[in-house]
Amino acid sequence: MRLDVLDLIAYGPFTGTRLEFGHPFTIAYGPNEAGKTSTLRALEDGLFGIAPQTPESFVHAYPNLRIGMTLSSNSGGLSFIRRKANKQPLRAADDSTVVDDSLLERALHGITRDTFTNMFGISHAALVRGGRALAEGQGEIGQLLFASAAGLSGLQATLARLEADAAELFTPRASSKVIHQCLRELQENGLELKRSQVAIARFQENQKALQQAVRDLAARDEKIEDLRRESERLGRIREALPTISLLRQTQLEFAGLVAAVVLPEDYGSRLEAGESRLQVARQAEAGLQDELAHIAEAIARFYVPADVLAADEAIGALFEEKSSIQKSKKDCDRRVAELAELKRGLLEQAQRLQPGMALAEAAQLEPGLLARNRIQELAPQVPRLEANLEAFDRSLDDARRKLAESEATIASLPAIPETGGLGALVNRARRELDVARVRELRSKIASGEKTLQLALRGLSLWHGSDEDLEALPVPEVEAVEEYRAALQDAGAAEAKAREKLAEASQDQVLKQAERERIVGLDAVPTLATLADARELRDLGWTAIKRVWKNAAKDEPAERDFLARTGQTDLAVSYEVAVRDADQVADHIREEGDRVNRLMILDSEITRLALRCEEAKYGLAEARENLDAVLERWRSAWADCGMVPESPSAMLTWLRRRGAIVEQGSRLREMRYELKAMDEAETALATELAVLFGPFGAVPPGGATDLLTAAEAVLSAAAEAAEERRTVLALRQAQTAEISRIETKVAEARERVSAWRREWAAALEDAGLESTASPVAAEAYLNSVRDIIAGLNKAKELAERISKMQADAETFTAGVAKLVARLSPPLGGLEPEAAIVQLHRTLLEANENNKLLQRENKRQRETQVKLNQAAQTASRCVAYLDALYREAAAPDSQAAHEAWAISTRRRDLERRMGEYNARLRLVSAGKTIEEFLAEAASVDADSIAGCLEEIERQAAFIKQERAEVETKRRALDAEALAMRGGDQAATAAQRASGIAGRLAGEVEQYVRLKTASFVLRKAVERYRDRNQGPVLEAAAILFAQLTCGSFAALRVESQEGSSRLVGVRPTGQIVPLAGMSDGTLDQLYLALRIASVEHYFSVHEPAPFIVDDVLLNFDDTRASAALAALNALSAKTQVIFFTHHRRLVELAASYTQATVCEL
Amino acid sequence: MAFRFVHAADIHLDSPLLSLDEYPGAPLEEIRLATRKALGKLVDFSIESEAAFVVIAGDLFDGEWRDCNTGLYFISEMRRLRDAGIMAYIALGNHDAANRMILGLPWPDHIHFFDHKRPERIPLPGCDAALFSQSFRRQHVEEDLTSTWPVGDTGTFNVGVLHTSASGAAGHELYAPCSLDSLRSRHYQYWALGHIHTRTELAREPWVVYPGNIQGRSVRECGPRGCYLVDVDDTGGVSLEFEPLDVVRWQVLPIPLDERAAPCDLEVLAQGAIERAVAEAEGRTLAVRIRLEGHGPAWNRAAGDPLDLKSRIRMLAQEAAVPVHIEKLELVSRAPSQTDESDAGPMAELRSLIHELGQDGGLMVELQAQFADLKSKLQAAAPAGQEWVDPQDPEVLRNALASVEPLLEGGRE
Repeated sequence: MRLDVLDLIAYGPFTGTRLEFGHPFTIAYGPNEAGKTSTLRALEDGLFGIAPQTPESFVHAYPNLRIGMTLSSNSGGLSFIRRKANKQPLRAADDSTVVDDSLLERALHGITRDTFTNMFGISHAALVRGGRALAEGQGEIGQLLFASAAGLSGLQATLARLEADAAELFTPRASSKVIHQCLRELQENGLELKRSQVAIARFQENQKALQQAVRDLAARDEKIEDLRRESERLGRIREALPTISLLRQTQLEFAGLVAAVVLPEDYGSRLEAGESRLQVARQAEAGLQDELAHIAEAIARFYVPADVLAADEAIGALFEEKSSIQKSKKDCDRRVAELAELKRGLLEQAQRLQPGMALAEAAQLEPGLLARNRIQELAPQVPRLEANLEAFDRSLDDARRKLAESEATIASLPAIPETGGLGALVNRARRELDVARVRELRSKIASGEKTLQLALRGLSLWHGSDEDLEALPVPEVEAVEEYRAALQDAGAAEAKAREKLAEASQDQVLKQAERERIVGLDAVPTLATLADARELRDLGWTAIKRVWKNAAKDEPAERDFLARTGQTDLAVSYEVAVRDADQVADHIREEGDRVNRLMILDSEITRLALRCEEAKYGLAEARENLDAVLERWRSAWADCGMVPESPSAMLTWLRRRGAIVEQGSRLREMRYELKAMDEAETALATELAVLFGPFGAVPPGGATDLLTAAEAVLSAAAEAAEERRTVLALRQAQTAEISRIETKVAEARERVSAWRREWAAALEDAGLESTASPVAAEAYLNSVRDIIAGLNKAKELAERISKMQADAETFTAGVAKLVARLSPPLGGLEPEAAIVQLHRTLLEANENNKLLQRENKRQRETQVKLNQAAQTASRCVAYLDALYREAAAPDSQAAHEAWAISTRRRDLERRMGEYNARLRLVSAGKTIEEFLAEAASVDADSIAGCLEEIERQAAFIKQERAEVETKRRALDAEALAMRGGDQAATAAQRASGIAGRLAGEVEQYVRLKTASFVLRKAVERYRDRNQGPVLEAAAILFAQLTCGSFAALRVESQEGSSRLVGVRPTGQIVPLAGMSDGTLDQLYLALRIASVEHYFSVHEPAPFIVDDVLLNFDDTRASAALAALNALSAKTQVIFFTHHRRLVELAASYTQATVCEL
Repeated sequence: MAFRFVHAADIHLDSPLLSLDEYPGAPLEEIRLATRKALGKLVDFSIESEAAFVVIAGDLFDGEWRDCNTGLYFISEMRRLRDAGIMAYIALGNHDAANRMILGLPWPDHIHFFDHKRPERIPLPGCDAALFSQSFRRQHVEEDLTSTWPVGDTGTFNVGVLHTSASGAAGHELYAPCSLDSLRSRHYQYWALGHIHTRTELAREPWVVYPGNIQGRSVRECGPRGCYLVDVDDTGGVSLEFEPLDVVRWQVLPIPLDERAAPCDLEVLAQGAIERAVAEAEGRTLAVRIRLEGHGPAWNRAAGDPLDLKSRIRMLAQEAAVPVHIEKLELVSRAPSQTDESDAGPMAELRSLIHELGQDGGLMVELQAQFADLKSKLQAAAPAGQEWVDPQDPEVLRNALASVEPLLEGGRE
């Protein structure tokens, strides 16, 4: 495929720009800002579609973008216009007929945008990066070839990046990598999960013990409650005794005051308040009378002129106007002078255009709007029209010269031989003959057989052939995985059961040891010991009561009691039993903690013994299960006649067996393939020998040598045909171009003549001479416009002066009228001074008026207050008289005495009420009388002794209760973890999350390592297949590009890998690390060109785009590079973009390149 | 007499929601204890809808789960049903069979577990209905037991409760299999089934229904999850209403990509997909897997640095109107087949190699060997019972092969 024309119809900065690529080697030249980048992008977008967010829409909107292309290839030509659209983006030249996308796809032969950009394009930046990457890669040949052909400039860096990223996630020996951390988190979370789980057996034990503790507590609480009730009853009576005494005394005093007058509780405060208010009212009356006298004196002192106050608005308005009138008078004088000056200047300007003209006539000079606009429109057109004409003339001369050159070239071309039959056979041979594949197959078969034999010898448990191994009825991997899981589970269950038994046994031993230690310290009495002692004491008391009440002797109870105490006397024996019981109780109280611990230990030891039994049973069950799984595992391999190792080992065995079977199968396939290829090669050699006859002697050797010779003949014929076709196409295009330019020249001449006719007519309309130039006409029009503007300004000034004078006269008349009416003595002053005086008088009158008003108001208010004070005093006297009557008292003193007696009587009543209330608080619901009777029945002196005894009994029971309570709390604390808590569920959720993260990290690690693996393998393969031809071509190019500074390239083995080095003409070896930056750039370019050349030796051609890669080359090396690109253009089209004129000149000197200017 | 009841199954209380990792901004508190919250909603719904009774068709708990707090929590929720006068009838499933909590906890009287020794008939006089069921004590039941169950009574609404892999239901462990014909032969009016986690209506004559589980627990259990409210009218006519109970809703959001999608479009496409899912989630927390399917520059960007893209999408998801957890960014390659360009050249070599690896030949074995260390480490260090990704699994490796070219993009000119 070749690009003949690129039409930048509407794209980036271009509108209707056309680039024609005549010669296979084209230089596209454009200075900075000419649109080189846009052109490069248009090349890609034209072939592969305009990008959705293209930056090339700054002139033409997205829907209007258009790129036209004309392509040609061996199968024909294709022209289209590319639009920016998702559907049917290709159109024909009319921009509407749809062109089938598949036509372009066929022309591209599967080349994608990526391939086109990276394989068929090279920029300066890529060249520099490629050169640096060569040095960094230290010349490893596989990587060099692969990277330079693929456009992967940083292959070494890419591999390093992949490996480093993977190593961040996992390395076998490190422990700080991401995957290791995930696994640690999983393990820690697993422990947390185990800790937070509560087994069902533990829950059941706890519930049982808790219920027992609750029952024990309830029994003790009942006893404590009985004692508390009796203690409270006695306590209440003891507390009430002082209150009962006070009640009796108060009742006695109250009896003496029963007949006194009872006054209301607020009587005393009302009496004092009434007397106080009367005194205040009388003092206020005297103060207000004094204030009224002072106000009357002040009013008499003020004077206010009424006529001045009435003229308030007129005086104020004129006073405000005074400043503006003064300013206006000054401004008026300035404006008069300015008007005179303006009129003089205008007159001079008018007389310059028409001498002797009066100012009043100047307005008639204006030529009219239409005539003015026409002159202004035509004046700037003429320079552009003349320049266009000149440019077209030059283009025509140039095109005629190029056509003459093409005619000469055609005449000198040689004749073309007929190669149709040979060409078809060579194409077939290229498709069918794959020498590299034959070589590869032989090598692979040899190495594969060795590998297979080694693998067979290394496979344990097996001594037969690979085919027998393949036929072996082995279990499926999934089944083995299941066995492995089952064995792991059974093994884990057995270990867990063993661990559980050991744990329970150890706990039991520890608890037993602790118990023995506590018991061994000192004899510790238990509650059972106490119960025994009390039972013995009660037995003795029963015996004594019988002896005492029934006077009977030698009763069985007595004998039993004496036998158990070891005494002979009943009284002594009872005394001993009572003392022993008390001592045991005292001892328990003293040793409370130890006793409590002993009880808990006994309970735990019993529980642990049960757990041991349970664990032993579990262990036996787990072992039985493990044996059963092992037996099933062995029987699964019985059909293979093998005794299997562990499932994990057998999984590895199965994988290795699978690899061997796979390898054997591949070997068989390769042998068949090799045989078929050998037969095909022999048949082809025979056919080629027959067809090669007419072109010379048949070369000795096989099909490969014959094919090479035939290709050389075909290549020479194709080159000759291509050259003739190119030159003919060029001549046709040049003829068309000359015709197009001639038309343009005629059009340009006609446009200049038309302009001249229109200009003469416009000047005549404006009243100017028809020969006047555009500059003279413009100067005349500007002067007339200035005069008309000046006349308008003078008119405005005269109107303003007249208005200012009228305002000053109105002000003077107004002031004179006011002075005559209000203050004739001011008549002699200027109007501005007189109005200032009048305004001052007005301000004083206003101030006095305000003060007078305020004093009048104060006088009225004070009089109202005086009247109110007199009324208040009268009301107070009446109120006090009523109070005296209420107390049946004639005067104030008697009233105060009656109030004191009433207060005492009320106090006694209140106290009796309080005493009764206090007694009700302690009477526990009984009436006061019932409670007084109950208190009277109790001997006050014996209360303290009874309370002490109750307290002693309660303390003992509470001690017992505290022990049970401690136990219950411990059980409660344990039960707290068994109330549906979510700790374990939360830990399980967290574990699932960590596992999810681990999966993501593992997948990412697999991606990175796989990419690295595939890339290394691809590099190796590419090297094996392409090393010879590409390096051979690259070595020649390198010598050419370095102008003989280097003679060749060579591959040397170093540290197990093949490395590229340069060879000087002297034979000196230069490693890549020893080459300069410029030389590395040239080496990279040589490799790229050689790779592309190699590619096109077996593929349809496609344009190779070179973007200013010669920036850092001196002229000699740049010339060499241009020559190399020119040579490449024999195989495929080369388009070289540059913005350096010097490179265009060099190309013109050393190649036959076409130059397109942007 | 008309009545209504609630049919639920497969509660799997306290089993975790899979693979929801912690990351900054992740809605962990909303996700925590999701199955408990869903159970709470089941109880609320039963009380609000004044159901006569609740039927749970198996798998209350996960088989291996040992924490009795889970059972105690279940009991505390069931007490709320008791306070509302609602009985709960439970048939044990394959997971429950292995769980010791069923025997060891103090179950209150209003919870009835069906007998495992023989089929049981429970009359419900207030509703003029009867329940038929049988629990299973073994983890693996391979025979159809319904043939021994009593035939339904005439004039009574008969409900069969069964934990089973009924014919036609796939994707779950085979358990107590049965056919529609064998179920019909019992002449019950409603079969309340459990075991299959996806809501399924197998038949309407009679009704044979799986309500699915009440809370999705992994990306394989997407969409609404809940229970059925079954209304029975005076004539024995049945109408069903599905009530979603899930508190965290799983969704897979596929985003198709081709050559036209630009790399910078990915975030916008993902955000759009998330917003659409949010709009359908009725205010629930979402657990979301973004699946990028296709090829082209945008797909390549995602495959080139999936972790970075995932982190960006997770940040965008925080702006959604409901809490959203991005579980995973899944890459599915659907590249168009290569044409004749790929027969030479380095990139063609690379593609040919990738194609060859995908065929599982000797090269695949060589590639698998690269991950032997990692697999050993995972085998040794992962806690027992914890699943992990096998780095030598050919499927995992084939997925990784699709990312090779995008990962090399960094070295392109």
